Amino acid sequence: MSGGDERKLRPEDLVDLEMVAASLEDAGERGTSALQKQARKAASRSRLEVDRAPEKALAMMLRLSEISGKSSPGRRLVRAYARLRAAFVAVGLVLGVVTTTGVLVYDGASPVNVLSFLSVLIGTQLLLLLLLILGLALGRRVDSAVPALGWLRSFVSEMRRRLARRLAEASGEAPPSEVDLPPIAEESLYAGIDRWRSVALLQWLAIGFNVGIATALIGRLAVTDVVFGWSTTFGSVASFFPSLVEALALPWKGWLPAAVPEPSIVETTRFVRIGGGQIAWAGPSPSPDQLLYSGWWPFLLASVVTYALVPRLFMLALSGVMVRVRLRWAIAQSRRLERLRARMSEPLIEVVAEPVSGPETALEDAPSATSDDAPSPTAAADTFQLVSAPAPPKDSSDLGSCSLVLWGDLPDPGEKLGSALDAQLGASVSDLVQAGGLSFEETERAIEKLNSGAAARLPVVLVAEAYEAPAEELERFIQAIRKGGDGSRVVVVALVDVLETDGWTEADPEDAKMWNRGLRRLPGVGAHLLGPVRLFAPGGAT
Amino acid sequence: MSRDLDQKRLPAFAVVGRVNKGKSSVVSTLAEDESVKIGREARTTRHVTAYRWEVDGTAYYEVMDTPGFERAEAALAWMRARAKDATERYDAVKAFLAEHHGTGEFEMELRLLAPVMDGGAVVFVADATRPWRAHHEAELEILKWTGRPLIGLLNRSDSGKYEREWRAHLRDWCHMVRVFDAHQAGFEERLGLLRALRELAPEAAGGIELAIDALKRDWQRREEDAVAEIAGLVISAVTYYREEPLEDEGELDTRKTEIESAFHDALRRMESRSHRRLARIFRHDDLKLEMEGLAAPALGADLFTGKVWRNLGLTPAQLAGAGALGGAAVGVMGDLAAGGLSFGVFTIGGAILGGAGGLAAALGRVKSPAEIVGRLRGGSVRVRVGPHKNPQFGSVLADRALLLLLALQGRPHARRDVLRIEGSAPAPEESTGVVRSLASPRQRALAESLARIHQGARRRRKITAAQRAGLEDAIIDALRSRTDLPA
Repeated sequence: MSGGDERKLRPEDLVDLEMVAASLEDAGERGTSALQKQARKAASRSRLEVDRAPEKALAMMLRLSEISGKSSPGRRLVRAYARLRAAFVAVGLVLGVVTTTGVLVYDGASPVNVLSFLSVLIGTQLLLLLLLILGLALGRRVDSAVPALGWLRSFVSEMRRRLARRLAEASGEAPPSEVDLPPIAEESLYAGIDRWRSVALLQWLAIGFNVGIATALIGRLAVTDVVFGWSTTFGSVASFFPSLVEALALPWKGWLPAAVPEPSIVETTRFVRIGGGQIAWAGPSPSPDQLLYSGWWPFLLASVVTYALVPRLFMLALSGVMVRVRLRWAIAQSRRLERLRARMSEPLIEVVAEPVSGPETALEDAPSATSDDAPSPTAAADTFQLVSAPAPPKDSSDLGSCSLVLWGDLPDPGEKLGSALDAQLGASVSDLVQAGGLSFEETERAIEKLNSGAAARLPVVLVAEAYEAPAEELERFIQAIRKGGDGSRVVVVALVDVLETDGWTEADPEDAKMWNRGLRRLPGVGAHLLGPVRLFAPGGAT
Repeated sequence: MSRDLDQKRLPAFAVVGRVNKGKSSVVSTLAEDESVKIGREARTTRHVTAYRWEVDGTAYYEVMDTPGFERAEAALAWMRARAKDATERYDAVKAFLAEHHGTGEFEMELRLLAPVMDGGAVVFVADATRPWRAHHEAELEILKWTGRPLIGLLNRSDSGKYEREWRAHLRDWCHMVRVFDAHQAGFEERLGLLRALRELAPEAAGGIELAIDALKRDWQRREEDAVAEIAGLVISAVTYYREEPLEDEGELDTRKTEIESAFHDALRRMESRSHRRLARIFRHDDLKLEMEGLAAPALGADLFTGKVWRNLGLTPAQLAGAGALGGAAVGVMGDLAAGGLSFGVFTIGGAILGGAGGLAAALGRVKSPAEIVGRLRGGSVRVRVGPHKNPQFGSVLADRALLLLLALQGRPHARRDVLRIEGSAPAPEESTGVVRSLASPRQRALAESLARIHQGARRRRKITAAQRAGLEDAIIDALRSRTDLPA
């Protein structure tokens, strides 16, 4: 597609527009936004009112899409149509010349029958034209009314399908499957136009045919003498014929009298074949001048132009008008095009993600564990295990006397916790501290207490709420209490969940997995840092 | 972080909170962005990402996803030591940022506080299904010291004791408190949150208002696109057929199953592709939608199982009713032509014929059989399977697509699990579909437009734009009547 933004939509653009719409439907919301953005900008730049000028808007959309250009299916279709049109004109021309030559065969024995000329070369065409008009009036039943038209349309449709397929293959896409191209389904937007373009093709055939008739007639007259007369068996036709000639000549009677046979000529040129190559004139024998220079051949030529060529030209013009009408109708009626157009008038909402450069930090980003099965960077022979209750964690079935840390403002459940620790970890609580709560000073005091005196030799059980992810403060705390011990202090992380009734329950296994991944980052995992233990089985101490 | 756009400061909202409280989920749902990383463990979000809302290329506001607080208590202790009274608090936060810059200390706190100190309003995300703990005060206190407007957002809430607890505490710190479950929030909830943000930051009100209007129009357009997609699927599937030449009639016996399977597989692929497109319309590009193996009868079962046909689509009786109406309409013309002398015989006859025809066809087979449709020279035959003869087929397809559409409309982008449509019916025998729950006139409109498509398919005629528009209208009417219903 070439030209500026203001270019109107061409009928064949409907084929491309349908492809644009289909590709956008395939692309989804995200894939559509780039073209939509471009189209919105272009419309705004050229101050185009999309709803008031739908044709221009769609033309603009098409121009911006990747489907426009010389190799687009629509352009290919129009080129194919031009080739077909040329072929139809050529075929019509040849047919016209051949048929006329056949009708004008004159060996000097009997004149060329004007009635044969009129009926074969003009009457048949008028009949076909009438059938075509009837067919068009019958709408979709036109195929059965005019066989060639149905065939033509199928041919053009099939050609378009093949073009689309070739284009898809040429662009490296997978050829459309049967699912993409169901045998029936919906009428394409171009179908209404296709019908009238098929009608136009027929008119080109007829125009070629009539030009062929005229050419053959004039050519034949130029190179040889052809005598015209008229003959019929029926008396009624004979009596009606002079009036018919007069009526047929009415359109040009006023401005081309030479093409109106005089009544005397009509009367005198009736003949009867009497056998043996002889004819008898119905009236007084006409003179050679009357036979050769009479108004018959101009009359016949004028009849071909008036009753065969002009109606076809009119039908051609009508099909051109109808193509425009159908184009406008398709634009106005098609929901698909309406949606495409809406892309240009509806606001385009985009949420653009953009990383924000934060303050420079000295620490590298710690690697994040992505899988439960990923090996810990610091795990040695021992594996940091997730141990489900009620089984105790490895190497911790008999912790004995230990310090207990309630992390993150976890309320103290009292004796129930002590008995649960004893039952599950073989631990007896000798000391209890709170840490990780609102007061940072309390956390610091807890570290100091756990790392001083006899307490520094005791294992530590840290109880935390499982749904709170292990944050940096907790990691720092664990590191601090492990440093403060003699280096072999066992720290067991035990997880609990809380109930709305202020009770405790077993931690969610998914939360425990999350802790598992989080604690793997710490050094010494497995050797002296154990857990996470889901401390309480359902129905356990609460 | 606010940036200058058109020489104006862009209103910004920093979504902050403790680690693992669903900050990224809130942002993902609000931005309809599946690419936002969401995880259970701490530090899934390590950096600040700004999500800028643009309408036609102009940015109006931005929402920032931030890392969670990891050492709020220690940070607050540091700040408290440097602020003797309320007038020094803001400077204490500034000093905190300046002093720890580049030290590696309080890495996450520095990152999350930077956009707040740059002028962003604050959205504090909390999990209201868990109890309030005193240490949350540390985070809220720091945020209060920044002097920025603050909204408390209860992500996940069971409306129980914890929510009351959280609301009571948050009211002390926040200008407003709202519930926004990022894993449940639909379109209206998203708009509700935007309205709350509009109240929170008056400087962003204009932009947010414009964005809300644009979002509403965009949502409506997407709904129409989805309905067009469903109509396209129904038309393509209902009119679809396959033809194959066979050596002789005997070959049909051996290849019948294969030919029929190919036909039904093509229909399944058609449906699957269409469902993907529906998901993309609602920006669920990476949706895990597994048709096989889902629990609910609606989407879980195969398209051609009897159970699906019993549960979804229009019933044979409803189709017979629509057929009877159609037949009666034709009969009325006969009675009118007879000038009333026929005493309604044509109307009654038309209704009986139409109804019986519809019923007989609807009680037909779920799958389409292969049939010989032509005999060629040399004894070979042409076999055709389809278009599907059962008039229920189109409504079953439409129903399945509508169920998916409703699920997609209500599915927030923070959810990354497999989409399962849980039927509300207590027993699988009961309908879980949309079309059977429609009021009669809507059912009739849908049945009639589907009947026209089926008729066209039977005659192997292309479906016209007017017929498609009729089907789209019936489907959108069905959809809107359903979504208008109270939950």
